[in-house]
Amino acid sequence: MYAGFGAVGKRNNKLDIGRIKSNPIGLKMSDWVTINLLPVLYCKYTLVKSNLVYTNERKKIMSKKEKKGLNGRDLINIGIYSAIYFVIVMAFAMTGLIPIMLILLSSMIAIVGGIPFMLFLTKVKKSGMILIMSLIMGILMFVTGMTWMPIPFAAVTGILSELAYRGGGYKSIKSAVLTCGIFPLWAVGNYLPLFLQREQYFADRTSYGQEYIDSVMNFTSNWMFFVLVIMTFVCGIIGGLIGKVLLKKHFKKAGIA
Amino acid sequence: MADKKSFLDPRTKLLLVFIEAVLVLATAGGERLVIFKDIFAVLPFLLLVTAKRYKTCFIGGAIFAAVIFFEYSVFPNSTGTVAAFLVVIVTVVTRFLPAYLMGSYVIQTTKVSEFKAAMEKLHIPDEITIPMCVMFRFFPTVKEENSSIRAAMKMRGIGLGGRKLSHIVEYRLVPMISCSAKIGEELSAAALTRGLGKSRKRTNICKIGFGIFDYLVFALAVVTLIYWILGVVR
Repeated sequence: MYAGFGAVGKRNNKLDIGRIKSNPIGLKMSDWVTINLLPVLYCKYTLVKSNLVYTNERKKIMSKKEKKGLNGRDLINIGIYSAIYFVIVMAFAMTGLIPIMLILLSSMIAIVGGIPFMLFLTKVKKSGMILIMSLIMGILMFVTGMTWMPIPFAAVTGILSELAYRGGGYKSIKSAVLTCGIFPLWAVGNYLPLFLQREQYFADRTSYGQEYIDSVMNFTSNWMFFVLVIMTFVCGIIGGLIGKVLLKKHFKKAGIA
Repeated sequence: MADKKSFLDPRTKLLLVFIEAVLVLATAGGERLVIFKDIFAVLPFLLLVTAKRYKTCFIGGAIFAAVIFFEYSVFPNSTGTVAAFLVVIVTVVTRFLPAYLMGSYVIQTTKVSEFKAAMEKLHIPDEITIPMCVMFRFFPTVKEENSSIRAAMKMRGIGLGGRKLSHIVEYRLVPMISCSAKIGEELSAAALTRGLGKSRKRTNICKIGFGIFDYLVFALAVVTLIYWILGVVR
């Protein structure tokens, strides 16, 4: 019955009330309204209402998430790109076992790390992600035996690079390159123990002769630290520019960036 | 293996890493703590033996012994630049190697869920621990991708030797990064279905707790601390 009327109404593209009088069972107008119109209206009403409720709830949840900041996907992204970054950096850092390369290590890390880091920056849309990655680098350095000093140092450089990328609204490619310059400074933190505890270390070694101590002291004098910082920054910018080119040439095509 | 506890609690391992960093690497306490320093320098080797990592232990031990031999035999007789190089090597190895071995022991023997459980008990925020868990899970994947791409590129004659640097970057680094990023996306989806993205508190079936060896390590650490403080006070 219900289906039959519905079909008629649909065919004529409007409700054919005239048919009701001539319908074989003889429904009254009021009956027709109760069995045909009311359920339809009710269904529409509940649908609209539930839709409203749904969108409202969704908005609430979304706003809660936005307020809370990073969600699971962001955290996982940080982990994945930290792993890629760290493996690449470590593959090149193995050459640092040769003592002379030790000084050049942070610059090398800056150049090579620029490529995965630029890719990571395309995934960064919220504040905190770069800082967390920087902190993780510091913690990894702590675990692999570079003392606790890299952790606070990495926190500071992480905040700086966070601010640099935030300045570009988390999408400007220029500020991304700048961030690429600042971020690898965490690697300079590894040298901090060598500089800060130098005197204490050499105090135990006076028996080896003053000439020898002087030569090593010159090698690791205090201004050397700032030279390292500037060198790493410049190399980081170069790495960022390389990363930018590769991003355009390869990763955009592959649909990753 | 799932219900079997590891030799040391993850928290104890963290404490050990910290002690290695402070005592052996940074040489805190100076001459007074030399005995403890030696104990903690030898400890990573013993731990590696208990974890059945004989190869790492042997190589590390050999390097350590060789350098100590150098320090006492060649070092006092050399001068100038030779000595300058030697001191860097001796410093790096005698101070960094125990800490490095301890770090590798910790990374090799700690399972991801154990690590997460320990971090939860230490109330470290998820923002730090989840990325670290994902990272430790992801390291082997990246290494595997790297070796596969190395093999493929060897066939095309693009190796580390001889060719231009740009070739290495374009044909080795870029595919490695793209592959890993793609796998990472899948991993991320898999982890989200297992509830990593939920704001609710997650549960962990990993049982961690202190055993007798943990208490021994803690006792050793406390003794060292007391001995150090006594020296400073006096």
